[in-house]
Amino acid sequence: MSDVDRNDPLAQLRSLAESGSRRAAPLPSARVREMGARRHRRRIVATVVAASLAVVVAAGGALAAADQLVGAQRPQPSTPSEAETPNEPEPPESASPSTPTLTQADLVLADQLGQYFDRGWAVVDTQEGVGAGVVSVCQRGGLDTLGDPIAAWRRDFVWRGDGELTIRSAALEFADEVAAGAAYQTLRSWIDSCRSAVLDRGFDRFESAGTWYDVDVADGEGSFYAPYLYGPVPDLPDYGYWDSQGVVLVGNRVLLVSMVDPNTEFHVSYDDNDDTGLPLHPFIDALPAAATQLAE
Amino acid sequence: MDAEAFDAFYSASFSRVVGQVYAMCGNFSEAQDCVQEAFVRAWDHRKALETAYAPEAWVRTVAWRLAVSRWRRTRRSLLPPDRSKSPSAPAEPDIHHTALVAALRKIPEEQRRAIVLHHLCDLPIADIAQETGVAVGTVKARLSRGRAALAELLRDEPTRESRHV
Repeated sequence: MSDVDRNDPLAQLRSLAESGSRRAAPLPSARVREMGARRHRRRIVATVVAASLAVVVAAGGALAAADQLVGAQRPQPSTPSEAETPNEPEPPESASPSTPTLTQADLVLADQLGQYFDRGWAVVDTQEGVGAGVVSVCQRGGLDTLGDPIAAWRRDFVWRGDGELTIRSAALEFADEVAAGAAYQTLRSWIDSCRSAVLDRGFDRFESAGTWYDVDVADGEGSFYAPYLYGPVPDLPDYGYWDSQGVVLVGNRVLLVSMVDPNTEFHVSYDDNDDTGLPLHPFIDALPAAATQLAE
Repeated sequence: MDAEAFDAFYSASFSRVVGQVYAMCGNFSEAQDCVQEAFVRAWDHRKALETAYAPEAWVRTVAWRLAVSRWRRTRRSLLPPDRSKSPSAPAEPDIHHTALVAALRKIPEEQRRAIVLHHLCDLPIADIAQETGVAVGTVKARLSRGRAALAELLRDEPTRESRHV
């Protein structure tokens, strides 16, 4: 380090990297291959188990359907949370690593979104595929073309309180973690450059009033940007759309979620230790829960 | 990629990538662990690695994501409520780079990554944009802001000698 110019941060950085390279002590390559092969076997087994479970659940769904045909008609689920029970997953045809295993059982549940101003959320729609309409106003293209996902599910929610607060979400599964990582970065870049997408959608007002917040995601990463403000809201000149955008990456799966609140103001806390009495932004707890759900 | 090709790739690039990730994350043990794990995953995904535009970039990207994920979990676990029970931050073994490591930790992680990819890995901006999945303009902004922040932080940092004057 004595030969390095202390006034040149890049020279110091190179020196740091060189010191790291010199100290690096790799495991024997045969050992690395052995660990990689073991990881590969575990991954295949996990896929087979997931496929087997899906077949069992599907069989259960088929039996239930048959029961419904021969028995008395049962009432339809009366609440969205009942309707979201996973009972008809598509069984994978084979057990290769690129076989889709994502089902609606992997989607975030209404209860996991927590309470917002003492009111919860209700599912309004769950469907296979990315659904109609965008999940995020920042999207620059269709989610189904984002790195060629092998499976996708969409679930949208509405707040149970007064107002038209909504949450839209889409979970995407990719052939491998690299493809998922690339899609995750693309989604983040779309959110970063949201202004042009919003203005292209015909809105004439856009403000970036927020920043990125990281959330704690086991074995993955997640963050959300909040809030963007854009408008106008039809017939409500003092209103704007307060928009929060979240992304989660877990293994070969990615979740995109947005919360849109048409309102005059948007007051939430972003710190679970603060004592202002404001509600915590729903994504702070919802994204880790969604990530756990997505990983299972 | 067969075993022989993998071994050659591994022995040629392991140390280099450890150095690069060390510069990105500022913690040698963490960097080495993450790069090691990335190579394990590389053998697991060796078919994908064959078609990757740059296998070393693939490994570096996986190692970086692992490091970020671990760092975020560590940071979360270090938060209150009981500071007295909090584990201390990982010891930094290289005392010669203390100021630089401290400065690195103060600048945003994506700026750090861009600086390392450009100035240590010698990647052109377009390649950094591809590796990190952002626009070219974003890479330029991160480089500019990161370099300025690093220079500022290192200028503010008292030298080891001056502390004893």
